[in-house]
Amino acid sequence: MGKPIINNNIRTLRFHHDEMTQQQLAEKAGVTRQTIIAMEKGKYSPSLELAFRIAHIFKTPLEEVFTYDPGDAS
Amino acid sequence: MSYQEKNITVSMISTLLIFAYYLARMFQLLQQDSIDPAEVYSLWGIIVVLGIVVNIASTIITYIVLEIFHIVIKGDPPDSQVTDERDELIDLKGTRNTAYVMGAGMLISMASQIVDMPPLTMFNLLFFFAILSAIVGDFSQLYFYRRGF
Repeated sequence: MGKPIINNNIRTLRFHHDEMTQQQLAEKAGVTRQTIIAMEKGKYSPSLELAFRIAHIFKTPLEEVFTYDPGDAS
Repeated sequence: MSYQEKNITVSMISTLLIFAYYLARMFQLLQQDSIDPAEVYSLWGIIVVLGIVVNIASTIITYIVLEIFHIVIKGDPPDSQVTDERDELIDLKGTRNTAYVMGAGMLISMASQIVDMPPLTMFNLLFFFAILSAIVGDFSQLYFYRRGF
């Protein structure tokens, strides 16, 4: 059984929002820049609250920011 | 390296130095013909007080030095010193590993009584594992920060 993975489009969304820097996003989301870096690299899956906060910052639905890949869990 | 990583590194180095001092003093005491328990208790007292004072001092000094370094030398504000959910999770994982080592240390210390070792050995082992668990906790936090999570 493969490990389920949560992917995200944060990097793309930052680019489409006036090339928002990781630092700017971190400040708006109330986290450190390292957390944004870890998320973009797919090394850290945020809490539901942070995920919603990021989606709210980009003014986009949650499922456009984060996608769930269940692996071969079925 | 983030502020948290720098802080943990300083904390780990200071704990390692205290650990080295503790081991050096213990070996000195062991080389004597008979160990005076009063000297061992005094050493434990010194180590505990030293550990608390050095840990607090190192946190404050790290904060001040980083602020000065970033503002005066680099000319920009330092990285965020706020802890977020990822920092808290890493902290929890570090604490968990500390508890694992300390738990194993407790068992080993108690086992020393089964094989008829003196109570002083048991307390020394407990002290040894207490410091070791703190180092393992710091090291594992650094590992999680380096790995990403």
